[in-house]
Amino acid sequence: MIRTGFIGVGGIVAITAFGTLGYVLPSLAASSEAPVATPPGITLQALGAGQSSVMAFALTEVPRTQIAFADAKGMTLYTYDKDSPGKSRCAAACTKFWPPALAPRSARAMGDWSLFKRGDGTRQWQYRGKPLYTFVRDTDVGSVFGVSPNRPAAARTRGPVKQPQYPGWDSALVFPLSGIPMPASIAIREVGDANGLAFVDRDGMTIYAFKGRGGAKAAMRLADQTQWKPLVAPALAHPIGEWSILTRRDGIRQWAFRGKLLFTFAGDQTSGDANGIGVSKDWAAALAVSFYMPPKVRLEQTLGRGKVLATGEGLTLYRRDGIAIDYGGGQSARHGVPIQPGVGRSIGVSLKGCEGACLKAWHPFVAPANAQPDGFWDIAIRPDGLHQWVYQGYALYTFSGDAKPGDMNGNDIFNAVLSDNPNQLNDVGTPMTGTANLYWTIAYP
Amino acid sequence: MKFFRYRPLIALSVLATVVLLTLAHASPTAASETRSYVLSSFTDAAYSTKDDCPGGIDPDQTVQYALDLAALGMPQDQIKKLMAGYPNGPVVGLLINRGRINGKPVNAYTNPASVIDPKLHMVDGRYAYGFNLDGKGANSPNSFEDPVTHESGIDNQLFRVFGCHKNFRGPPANATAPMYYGAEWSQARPTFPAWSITISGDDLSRDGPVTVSIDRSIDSVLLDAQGNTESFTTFRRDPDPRSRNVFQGQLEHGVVTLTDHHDLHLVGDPILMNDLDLSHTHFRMTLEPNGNADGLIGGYQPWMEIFLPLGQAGIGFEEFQGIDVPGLYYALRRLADADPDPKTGANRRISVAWQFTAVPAFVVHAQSTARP
Repeated sequence: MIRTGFIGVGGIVAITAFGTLGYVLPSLAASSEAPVATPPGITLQALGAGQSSVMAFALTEVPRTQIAFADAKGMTLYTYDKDSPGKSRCAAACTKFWPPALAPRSARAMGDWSLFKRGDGTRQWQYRGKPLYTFVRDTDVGSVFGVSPNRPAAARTRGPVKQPQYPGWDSALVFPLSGIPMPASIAIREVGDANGLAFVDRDGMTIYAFKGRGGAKAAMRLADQTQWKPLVAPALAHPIGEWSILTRRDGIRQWAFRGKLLFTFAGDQTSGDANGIGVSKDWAAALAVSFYMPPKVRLEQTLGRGKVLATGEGLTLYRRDGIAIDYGGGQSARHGVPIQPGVGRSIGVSLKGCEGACLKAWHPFVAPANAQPDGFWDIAIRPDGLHQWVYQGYALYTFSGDAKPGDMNGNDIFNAVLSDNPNQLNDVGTPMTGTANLYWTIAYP
Repeated sequence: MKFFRYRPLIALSVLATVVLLTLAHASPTAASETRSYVLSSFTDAAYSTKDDCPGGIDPDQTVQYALDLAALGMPQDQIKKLMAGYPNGPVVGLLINRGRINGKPVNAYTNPASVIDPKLHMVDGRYAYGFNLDGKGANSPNSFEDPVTHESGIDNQLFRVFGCHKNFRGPPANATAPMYYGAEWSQARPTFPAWSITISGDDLSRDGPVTVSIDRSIDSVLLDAQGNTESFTTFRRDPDPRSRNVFQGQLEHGVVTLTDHHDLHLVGDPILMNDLDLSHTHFRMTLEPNGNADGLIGGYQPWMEIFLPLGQAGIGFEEFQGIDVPGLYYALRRLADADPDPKTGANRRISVAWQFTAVPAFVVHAQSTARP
């Protein structure tokens, strides 16, 4: 199928956009209004080594090569290629190995997510028309086809986890997105500062779309006056899918997606930055998918550390973590060290090594009683019954020493768990091969 | 009419006021001077001489491991067989879990007190860089003489702990090998926030009182094409109050020292040390004619701050640096010389001296740039 597009804007030569639309993501959108990836009760989990369940294996970069949809308990979801929309071919004995991902009564269809009734009257989730299942051999969060990230061999593996073959079954991945016609110089990657999967240029810099009034002409005029750099299309580049190329008056060929001109932001210093968000309501990060964020959470820009998770009032949120040994340094680098959800989960809501005054300094970030796990967000129930927000495995806290948005006075506070008593076992709740050096760090998205 | 009568007087008054205001405004500016630096190297201050380890240099870690296994009662032939496979094979698990609690193997690095003390060798020489922290001078027990100032009563027990291990020995006895902290700092400096020093005084070309600010920056150092720390780059001072330190000092013959010795705290990075947390802070910095600076900073530091970054790396640290982690734990605990725990009486701090070099830099308030 060939689609011909034309964008008529005064002063701009429009080029016909040719591209195959064999696969079009109905939800793909070039704005921060991109659809949220998950409905309540469906979570996102990094697979395999991306969980970093054992501190010793969290050396240098933690590969997050695959992020899967998972149920509320974090169990990976799968699709079966013999299924069709609204119809499951997995019944009886099959369901003993592949239990259907059943939705609670309160669940509602949302975006690409819908529900259908099984023969027994239960309702099953489906994503883009594909019924979803869990796998009985998955035992831990981040497991795939029965391979647990807690097995050292899996944790050490870099790149996609080697999976046993179950013909017809596939893990339901949100990342990487596949089958999307895209220019060769543009990619999709996880950009925490944009809270989603964003389009990035060849250098990994976040791409933005102009969504203000006045269309392409206004975008160019405003961009020239500010810090927005046109996303230049190479001379030999061709329009593809929903990507088109506009030639500006100055001769520059500029990429557009769904007719919206694309830019990078001069204020972004490094790959993973999304400092252009919030500069003006006319500009938004070009997201393929956005991630859920609780209503009383926001991303707060900080000095030198990029964006951090913050309360609705802007107070920095913190997590407790174990030191990841990284001989290249980087503990206090911009964006910090990679998140290790498995470590966060094993530390849980315990504050071992943080007693007395330390304990008074850290306040659990409380979730409403009716809050549900969603996307990267989970809920822990504290010993006192309080519900606490958990982000990517880490229970979240505020720090009593912070008074205003942007304060990070609780960052890099260390607590050693070490006893001089030769008969006392030091246990911090998470496996560590070295001395237990726990610390508080700002919660990066 | 009265106005005209008093006009000369009024004019004179206005002129005098203007002159006074100008002088009042200009005086501090004209007379004051500030120079800022950012650290370009940082390491333990080691002055090693050939005869300062009468017990010998610590053995290579493979030898130490064999001793550790023997101390657990393992027969020599079994040790030899196991160690032949090091750093791979089943011996790795045995070494990691060479601690014993109630007879059961436990991780030696999370439970260093459960390991038999291998009793690392300690320095017992005449010289060490550092400061007379306890003020007792030559009467100070276990003290050294500074090889540069020849001041006696130098307290630097950290040198005593590290100084008999080959990767921590410094010049003049060991002029070529990189010392552990220096190498680690050099490798990691572009990735952690820089530490800066700002000296302010009326005229830094003359002797006189100065103010010394030691701060953490938001920014990291930049390296030039040769891997040296770039001079004259700008650093935003971290507004976090935990890393702001202001001392009064004295500039004399181009050397800055402190006249007050209160506590210092800088948030660090666990690649080197979680924090630099000193009591009885002492400092000596020479302003070099080429614009650079070098010096020493010392005081009493929690020994746990020293141990944790090394202990957290566990067997990896032992493998790469060849020094026994539980042995280090015992040595630091044993030689700690300040800040007794009110309950146990055990000292929680150890006397230290760190040496640094610094290059000129611009240090500004974080809010003065819009860069996020």
